[in-house]
Amino acid sequence: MMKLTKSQAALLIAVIGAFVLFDLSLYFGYAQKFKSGSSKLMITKSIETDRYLPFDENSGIVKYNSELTLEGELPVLDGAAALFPVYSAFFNAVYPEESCEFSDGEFSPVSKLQYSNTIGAYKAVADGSADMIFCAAPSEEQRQYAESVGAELEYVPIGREAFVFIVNKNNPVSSLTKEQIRGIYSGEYKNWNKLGGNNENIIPVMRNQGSGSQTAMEAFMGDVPFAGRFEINRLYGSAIGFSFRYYVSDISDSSGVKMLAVDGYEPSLENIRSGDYPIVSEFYAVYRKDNDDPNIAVLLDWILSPEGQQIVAESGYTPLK
Amino acid sequence: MEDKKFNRLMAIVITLGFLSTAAMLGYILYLYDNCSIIAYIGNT
Repeated sequence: MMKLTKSQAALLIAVIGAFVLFDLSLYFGYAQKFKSGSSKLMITKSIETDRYLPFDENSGIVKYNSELTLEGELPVLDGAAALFPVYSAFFNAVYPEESCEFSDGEFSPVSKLQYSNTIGAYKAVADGSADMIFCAAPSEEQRQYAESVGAELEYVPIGREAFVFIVNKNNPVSSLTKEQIRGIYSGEYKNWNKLGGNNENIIPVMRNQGSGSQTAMEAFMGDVPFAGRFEINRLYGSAIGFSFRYYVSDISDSSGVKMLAVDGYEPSLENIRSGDYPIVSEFYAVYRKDNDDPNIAVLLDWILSPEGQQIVAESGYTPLK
Repeated sequence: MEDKKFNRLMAIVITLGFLSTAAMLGYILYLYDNCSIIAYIGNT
């Protein structure tokens, strides 16, 4: 057996030790942060659609027995993750059961209920493969795409929801002003200690372009420019992100985060309905103006009726009135 | 150990070291692609 000299052994141990230490620091420094206990469906689709299916006795949707049942040419419904429980509840109330086909985590191509998330749904309604979608306001790119394919879209508000900011539940900061939040995302504030928190870098997290919450964030920032993405993705610190209230409180596993009060008001249903919580936006039923399916108008009238608005309210959102 | 054999051993160790680091980075990238924003903030 060949023996190592002392210096050779020391060098070998040092090199192996350096790699081990480096890899362990990568694991504890980064891999742990990105680990999610969410299900595969939650990760790939942003919502566990099988928990909110229509006509399922174990479904988490609001069940409502309406006297209206749509007949004839049924509109294909699609929409955002955060609104899936709402439009699935609409579907459950007024569509015939056989019009929904779901298996192995997917809706069949002939199902009148679909889920593609915001980006997919805006494309689907513009292309004509969906008749009515349920989403937050479109991004500029989504508007331009619709225009490019000759689709003039109609946006009908059907409810309201709070746009919320979330931090780690151990972050001592519980409330920020709108100006402070804009300051964080513009790069003006880089450390939580400037905002009453710990001496830690602020990591402002963004969403993917075209998603409902990213579009809402861009509207919130207004004329205040975002800091560059490279600068924004600071490597160590405590993060802040954004989403819609119901998605955080009811759809996701939010046990590790808390929602911030903005301008002194918590994003409670009471504060949203009273108008005290300052960042509330409408969500929409969207359809092509040239869609001549008569059930579009029937469905829309019903959604805006007391029955439809009751579903909006009981689903955890704020009705229009 | 002769220098020539030791150098060969070190080359193997360093190569394995880089491969393990590359595997760790690939794993982190996989987790990043499959991470929910809310889980990330809850872990950060």
